[in-house]
Parts: sequence; structure tokens; C-alpha cells
Amino acid sequence: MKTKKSTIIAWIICIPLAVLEIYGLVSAKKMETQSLVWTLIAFGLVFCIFFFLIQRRGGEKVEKDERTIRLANRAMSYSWLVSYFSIIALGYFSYIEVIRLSVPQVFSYIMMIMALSFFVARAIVNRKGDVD
Amino acid sequence: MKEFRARLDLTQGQLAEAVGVRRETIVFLEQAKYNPSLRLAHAVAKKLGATIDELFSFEDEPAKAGT
Repeated sequence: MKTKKSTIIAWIICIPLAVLEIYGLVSAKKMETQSLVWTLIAFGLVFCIFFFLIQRRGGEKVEKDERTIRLANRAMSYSWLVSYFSIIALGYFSYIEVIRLSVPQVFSYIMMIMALSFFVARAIVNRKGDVD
Repeated sequence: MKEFRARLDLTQGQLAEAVGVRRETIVFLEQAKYNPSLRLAHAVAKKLGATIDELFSFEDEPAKAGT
């Protein structure tokens, strides 16, 4: 199966990149410009591969219909909420000095959270088939 | 809906293409997991030569107290 094979290859590429990305975000005490760039490149690649997978899933080209638009809108809402609460949590933990984040790190976290939460939310609502 | 489609010897993909949606949408419609818009329900009914009532059943939600 062509689709299954491409999915496995995509996972083989994505998993190391995702590990690299998470390691870069978690381990860096003070994220320097170079490590930030590599983290963002890794994130961008993961994002592009998953986007490509979703576009080509089932071997058919995506045609936006009423259902996919409805699901995407709901997923976007969930993603916005998750991102919002994540930013609040980051701000709070930073305020009580549990974590110390540089501005580039905050940008990286926000970008990652917004994109990932959107994909996760879309996968969940897509599995359900419809939203209430 | 599946029966009507089978009578016309249409695949899910052909029906999806005819009414302008993705095949997945037809799959979820047949599994009664998706509530279509009136426009889509009408398009599907027209394509399958049936009425909306024949294809879809809408159960009334119990009225809320005080309404």
C-alpha cells in the first residue's frame, strides 16, 4: 500500500525530528540563536510532513467540503483555547519563577502549541465525524 | 442511504464527486455520524432520486423544561 508505506517513512523522519525539537526546547537553559534556528527548522519539517500526510491521506486530494470546514473551524477554536491557557500557564510559572524562559523560547513554545493542538484537535473531531 | 446508492450502482466516491464533497463525508453520512446541511441533504437526495425524509431520519430532541 503506497499510502501506508509513505506514512511509515514520514513517521521515521518525524520521530527523530520531534525528539530533537523537544530536547532542544526542554534542555536549553538559555536558548541561543543557533539552537533556536535548528529547533524551528525541526519543527517546520515535522509540521510540513504532517500537513502533507493529512493532505494526501487516503490517496485523494483534499476538497474542502462543508464537513471539513466545520471540523477545521472547531479544531481551530479548541487550538485557540489550548494556546490561550498555555500562555497563561507559561506567564504564571514564569512569574512565580518556576521556569525561566527567554523570548525566543516563548515564541517557539507558542508556535509549537498552536500548531500541534490544532492537528490533535482536528484528528479528534475528524475521528468523531461531526461536531455538535 | 446505502441502499439507494446501491440501487443506482454508485460508489461512495462517485456520489461524493457528484454532490461536491469528500468521500469521507459520504462514509460518515451513511454511518449516521454526520448531520448534513440542508443543501447537502438536498443534493444527495436529488442525486439518489429520493426524498430527504427517505434518506435521513431526524429525531426530535426532548424539549427543555420551561421552553
